[in-house]
Amino acid sequence: MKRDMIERLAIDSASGELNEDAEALFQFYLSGNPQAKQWAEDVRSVYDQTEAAIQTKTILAGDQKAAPPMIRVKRVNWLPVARWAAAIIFGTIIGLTAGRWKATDKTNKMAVQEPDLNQMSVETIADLKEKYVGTFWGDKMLAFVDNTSRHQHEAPLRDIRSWDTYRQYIKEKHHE
Amino acid sequence: MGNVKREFQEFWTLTAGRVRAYMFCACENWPDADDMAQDCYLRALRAWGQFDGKASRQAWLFGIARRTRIDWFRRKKREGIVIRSENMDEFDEVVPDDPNVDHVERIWDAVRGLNAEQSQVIHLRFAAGLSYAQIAHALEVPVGTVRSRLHRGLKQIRQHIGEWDHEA
Repeated sequence: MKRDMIERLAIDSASGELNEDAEALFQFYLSGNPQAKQWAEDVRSVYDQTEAAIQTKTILAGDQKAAPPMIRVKRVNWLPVARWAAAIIFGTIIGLTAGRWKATDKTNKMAVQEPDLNQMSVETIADLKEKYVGTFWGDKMLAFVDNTSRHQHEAPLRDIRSWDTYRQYIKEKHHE
Repeated sequence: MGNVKREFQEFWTLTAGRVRAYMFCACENWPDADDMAQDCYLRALRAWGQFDGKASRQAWLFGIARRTRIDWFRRKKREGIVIRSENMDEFDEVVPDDPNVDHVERIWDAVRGLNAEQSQVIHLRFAAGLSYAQIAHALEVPVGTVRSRLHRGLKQIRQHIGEWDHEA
């Protein structure tokens, strides 16, 4: 047999992979062939040294102190999650709905009733004058109302005059 | 579920040491070896019911261990983590003042120098103690391939030792 075959059989023998008959035949062959026996012992030595070296370093593997990795597969209880999700969705819908109803009142300001003097009718101004005449704030209020009403009436007139002047100017220019 | 739990615990007791040893051969430090072993057993537990019975449970487990080892190193590579051999302190604890320390380390150097296919077979044979058939199942290769890889690996180790002896 070739050396390669002898070495393969020697490794198989060392690994315990030869059956009884094959093992017996191999040993018989080696006993009659010193050269083959030398080759077999050589590779067997490497096999044993490798095994010993690896086991020397990995001997701590059996000295495991950690608890066995007994993984407890936790089942998720979805019921509380679903309850919370439903509550959040319900609250969101209610909030949005309420928000839509109150959307126009965004500023949340106090409603203050202030007289809009620009839109006051002549009758209202007359009423105010009548109301405040002779009171503590009478003079101030009368001055304020008069001033406002004057501007209220004058402003449109001034605009109209300007417009009419402009139109007149255009007409004259056109005729020229 | 209780039956599976008991079976798995017994299986773990039987195999944990060898799985750790197999993982250690790849990373050469125990924290990482334990990390890989835990990943391996998690996968094994998830796939417990999928065992087809074509080979032994141990061969099946070491098939998972092999894939776990590959995935673990890929993940570490993606994360940019370099795995260093940090085993010397532990090694010193095991064999204090042992004159064979150099010799052992020399053989480990030789095993590190093997290609992945050969070193897988060496690890599964010597650290995990699997038979040829179990190694073949774990690596998904024929038994003849296992024999060839083991033979070539040992020849290379012998060559490495011979060179070292020659230099010494």
